[in-house]
Amino acid sequence: MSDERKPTEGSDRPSDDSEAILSRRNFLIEAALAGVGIAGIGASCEETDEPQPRV
Amino acid sequence: MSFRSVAIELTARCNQRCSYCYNAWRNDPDVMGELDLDALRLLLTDLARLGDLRHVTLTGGEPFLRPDLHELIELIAALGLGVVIITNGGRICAADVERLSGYGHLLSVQLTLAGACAATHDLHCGAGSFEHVTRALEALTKAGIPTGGSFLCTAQNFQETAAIFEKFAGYEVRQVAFNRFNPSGYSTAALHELMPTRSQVVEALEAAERSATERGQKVFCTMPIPPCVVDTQLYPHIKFGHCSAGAKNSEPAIGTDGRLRLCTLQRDSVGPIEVLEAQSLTELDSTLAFRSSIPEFCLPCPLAKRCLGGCGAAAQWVLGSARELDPFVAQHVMLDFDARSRQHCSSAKVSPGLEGNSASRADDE
Repeated sequence: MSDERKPTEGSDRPSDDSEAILSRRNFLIEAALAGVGIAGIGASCEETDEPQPRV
Repeated sequence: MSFRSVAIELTARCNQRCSYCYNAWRNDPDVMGELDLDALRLLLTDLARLGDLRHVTLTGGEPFLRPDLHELIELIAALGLGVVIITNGGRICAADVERLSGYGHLLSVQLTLAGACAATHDLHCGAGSFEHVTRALEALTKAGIPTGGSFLCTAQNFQETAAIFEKFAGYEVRQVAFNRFNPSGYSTAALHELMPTRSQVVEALEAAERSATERGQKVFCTMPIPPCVVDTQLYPHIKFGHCSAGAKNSEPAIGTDGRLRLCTLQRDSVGPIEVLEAQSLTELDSTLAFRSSIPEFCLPCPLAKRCLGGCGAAAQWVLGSARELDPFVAQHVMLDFDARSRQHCSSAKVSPGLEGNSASRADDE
């Protein structure tokens, strides 16, 4: 298993996971700048008062 | 008051030494005290009087180590509240099952699988623990007791996700919490062994989504998975949430000392429950401070005020401040994450480790 944990210190080449997070973060920011609502970027969350499984 | 559910940590004692345990005080001789039944009666009566409490989650340590557990469950029924019990199953006996089956207000007994087989589960929870939890699952579901599952996703077990969900389905467990490992308390000592990467969690989510689709299981992510980590639309049968600590839908915790914390993972208390006489949980200074702590990485994100940057409690444990990024995200985007996390996590009181983890080390008798 390759270590996709984090960007390598001293290196400017991030791992695939780092790239995925930074890319999606940029997408969310750009979508907001373009006036796309939260539901439009697939980030709405359902809230419930029902007890849910937890830690 | 502004919450409908509260988690009560009944005891610091536990018969297991799970490497992922969030408790900081587990079996700590300094905090081995626990509220007796009279104190719990007063506490619950006050909480019921103060507001809109609907149900109580009993946790620990291991709740079934309390000899007065059933009296407490009956007390909760007398107050008109529902009850959820979180247990490792190792101390549930036939007499417990018989009594539990008679409680109309028992909403769920929740058990955790950290592996689909003894080797993997016991790696996380100690030798013999898989046998304990599966025996409890079988007895509870056979007795028709509402049973919930919790899947703890770590770097050591993510490849068993499908098999774990299948295992839960075999016990007719329809509601499963997807808990990606979230370092806090004791588990900070196992951070670098247990923390799954984003790719590993994505692989596990894909398996959970398939299981939810095929088997009709209700799957909830109880630990935050920030929207910059995954596109939640890819998993339509999984419910995602975000940190609710101190919010209207939160479940604050009451420790064995009777003091209130914003959630079970929080390191610090906000005071005795009397603080709620003057202000609701959402209005407390400590709540406002915690919920306004947005990590710098998240400031440009339009979802930051809802997401809060993931789990601030874990950030405090691992990186020293709730204003830091959730360690699950930080491991990928913070260049000095290893060094900074080792600085804070090395001060954990006990290193449960993954080697030599054995339920036989229990000192619960």
